[in-house]
Amino acid sequence: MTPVLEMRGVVGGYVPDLPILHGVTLHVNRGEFVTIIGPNGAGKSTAMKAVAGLVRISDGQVLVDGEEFTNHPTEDMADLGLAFVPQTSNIFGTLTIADNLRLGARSLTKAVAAERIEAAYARFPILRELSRSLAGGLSGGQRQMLAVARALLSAPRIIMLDEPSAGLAPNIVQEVFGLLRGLADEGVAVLMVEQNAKSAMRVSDRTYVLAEGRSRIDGTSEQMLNDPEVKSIYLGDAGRKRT
Amino acid sequence: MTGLLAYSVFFLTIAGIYAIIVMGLNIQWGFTGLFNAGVVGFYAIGAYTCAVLIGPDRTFLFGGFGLPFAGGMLGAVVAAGLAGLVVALVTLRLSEEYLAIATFGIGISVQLVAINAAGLTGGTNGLYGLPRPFWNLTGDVAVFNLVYFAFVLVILGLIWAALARLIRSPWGRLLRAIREDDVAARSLGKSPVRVRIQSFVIGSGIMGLAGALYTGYIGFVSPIDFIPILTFQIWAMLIVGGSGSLLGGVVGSLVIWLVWTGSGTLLSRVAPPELQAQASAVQVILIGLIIVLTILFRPAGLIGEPRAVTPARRGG
Amino acid sequence: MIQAIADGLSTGAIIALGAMGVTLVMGILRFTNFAHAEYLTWGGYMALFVLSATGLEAGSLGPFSLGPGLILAMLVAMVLTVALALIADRLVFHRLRGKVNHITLVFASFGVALIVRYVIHLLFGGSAQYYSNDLRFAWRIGDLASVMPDQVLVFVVTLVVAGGLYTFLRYSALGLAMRAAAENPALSAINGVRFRTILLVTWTIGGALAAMSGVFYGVTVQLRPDVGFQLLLPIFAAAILGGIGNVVGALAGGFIVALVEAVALLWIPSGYKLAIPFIVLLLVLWLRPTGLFRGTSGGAK
Ligand SMILES: Nc1ncnc2c1ncn2[C@@H]1O[C@H](COP(=O)(O)OP(=O)(O)OP(=O)(O)O)[C@@H](O)[C@H]1O
Ligand SMILES: [Mg+2]
Repeated sequence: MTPVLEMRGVVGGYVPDLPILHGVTLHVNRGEFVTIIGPNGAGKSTAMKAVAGLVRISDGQVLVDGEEFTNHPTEDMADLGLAFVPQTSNIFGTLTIADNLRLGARSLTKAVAAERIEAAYARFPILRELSRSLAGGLSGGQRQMLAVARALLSAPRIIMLDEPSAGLAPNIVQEVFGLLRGLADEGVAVLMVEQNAKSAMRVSDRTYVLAEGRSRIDGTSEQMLNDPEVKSIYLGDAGRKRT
Repeated sequence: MTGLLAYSVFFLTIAGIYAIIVMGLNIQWGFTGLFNAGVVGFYAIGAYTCAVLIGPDRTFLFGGFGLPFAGGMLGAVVAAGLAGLVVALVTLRLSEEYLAIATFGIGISVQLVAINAAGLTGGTNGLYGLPRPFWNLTGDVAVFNLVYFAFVLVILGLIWAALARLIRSPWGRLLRAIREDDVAARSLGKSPVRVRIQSFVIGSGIMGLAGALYTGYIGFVSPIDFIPILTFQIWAMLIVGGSGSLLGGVVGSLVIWLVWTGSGTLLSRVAPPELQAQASAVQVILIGLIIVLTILFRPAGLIGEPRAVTPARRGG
Repeated sequence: MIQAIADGLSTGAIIALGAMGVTLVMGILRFTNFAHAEYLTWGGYMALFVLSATGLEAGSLGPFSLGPGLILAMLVAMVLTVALALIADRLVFHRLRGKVNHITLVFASFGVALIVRYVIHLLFGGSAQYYSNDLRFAWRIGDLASVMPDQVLVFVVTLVVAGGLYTFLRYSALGLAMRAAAENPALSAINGVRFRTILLVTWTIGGALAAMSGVFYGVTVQLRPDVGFQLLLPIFAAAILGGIGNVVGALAGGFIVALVEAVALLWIPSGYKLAIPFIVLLLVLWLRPTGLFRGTSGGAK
């Protein structure tokens, strides 16, 4: 089966000739929930931005449904059914919450948009309460809810989330993870970077470990949860143990 | 001396004075990346300060201190440097375009003062009858011109040598680090704002010095000598030569001054008398085109450091 | 004083129309375009060109000199000014965008400004010109002041245009996309906002407003090739005062700058007129660089 999203030996970075990613290889199948973990600065966010066309890829490939997607313009992503929640600045602080959602629903017909926005409000009631206020005033957790809610509006085929649980209360984290699990079960390909590794691995199907810009280890989340090496890498001494 | 030779000396002296202004701009833009859209203002401040300091006492004017020329030069540097300091203090902690706007405003304001503050600047008549250094030594126009040309060359050479040293000093390396990347410079524990201010003030002072040299040469200053377009002539000299290169600045000054005077002469010959005023617009269009085309197609100029005009944007 | 305020309001409108364009370009495209003021001049002269090329009379509408002929000419001038803005972007700014640091782009805009201003000079000459030689009579406001009907018209039209622009940005889908792009280009791209569309719309608005402003200047004052040069500082002062990216702020900024200028000129010799917006600008940069009103973001880094 062709993976919905695939990275093959991706090399790239922010400045020419200074790659941050030295060969990232991973794939996500339809209906699969995949987690990426790794130490700070490993290049997890950079890898996602590379898929999104926000970081220049100098070598390797990104494929979507088996088709070339390397360095694809970011602005086409939404129409092609790719949603992305970046790690930082993932909401528009100067816009109201309602406008943030309206923006996420841009490509939908009015009726569908209204319905989906309604569903988002039902899921995160606090957003409805605050819908007329500026998103910049939201708390960290509320921002994260808004960012996730916005990404889901377009009913994507692939959704990438960079540390969606950051700042969320544990019960909301579970709720978000549950939501993503549900999406995956409906056939969406979910790719998530998480620091909250254990909880993430419990709900996801497979896990990759990224360190120093390379994919290192991967396996089903269950295997990985019990892998002593993963534990040591996650503790941050990957460089010393395996190079 | 034949007319042509005399004209060549005049031409080269003015080119030399412009080359000094270009050196000042080079410090600001070439080495630090600070945009100065009011070069003519700092040059004019220097010229007028010098004129006020060295001029003869006249009842209807402020000033006329009758200082020796060296005093005028020093005053010019200080006054232009102070103006640079004020602008830098207000804008340098802000985004770079604010420096551009503020310096543009300085350029205009200085011109307004030159035109309107008649009690200080002589207004549209300007300040005339100023003593010229070396004049008494020589007494002859041709000799004076040659001596003054040599004087300008010496000053140019001194500034060149001083800047070359400065660039190689730790302070110069810091400038480059700041131009390339604020963050890296900051991690060296240096305040980029402070170093930027220093660089801007030094550049402004050099422009002021050039103004004093102009005053000493012509013995007369008036607002017409400081039209806004001069700022962009200087800019064209800098980037055509190659910003970040001292030699480039001198070469650029010669080339652009030649293009300017050459196109002026040509136009005044070919254009019918009733269209003279309009024809002079072509000269300015030429400067604009040179600037835009250089930025687009030859950002390093004739001799510049690669990437000097247009350091690649860093970061995401 | 009342007279100064009355005059300030029409000048303020002209500055505001320029400042609204500048603030949008600064806020959304993150580009400080020093050629913008020349687009005003260009617009004013293009209307003159249309009138003289077609032999149309500027005409009149009741007490106003903005007659049918001039209105038509203004519409054509708006199109031609948008064209100029787009051509300058395509030929110069777009080729540099993203490749060089943004201050080099600012530098290039000075070069473009020189070219535009002196091409106008070359084509139309340096002397002052008018759309129409008809004399118009001023309206008297009691004994306090007299205003030209055209000044009132310019003021009112500017308010209406600003209201329209505000509504567009606030409520339309495109306006929302523009505000999003102003705050965070990457995130708006992730949401499918196309930069090309934003670029086109922003220049269209900026160019059209600039042309309108230039024509209004020609109607209430006169046309000279250095109109833009004279208005550059007031326009930037207004845009910065209003907060970069803030259209209503730019409108208010335009009136503030013009009123300060008009009132200050009661005491300050008129030769220093151009320095007044500059001093306002320095004060704002010194005391409150984000402007009196909150900007959307953008311009400042
Ligand atoms: N905008 C940027 N410009 C230049 N370098 C960057 C930029 N963003 C990140 N980097 C560098 O790229 C490397 C990888 O960063 P990245 O954000 O991808 O790590 P990460 O794995 O997501 O870390 P974290 O767990 O802290 O989010 C780091 O060394 C970082 O300094
Ligand atoms: Mg990260």
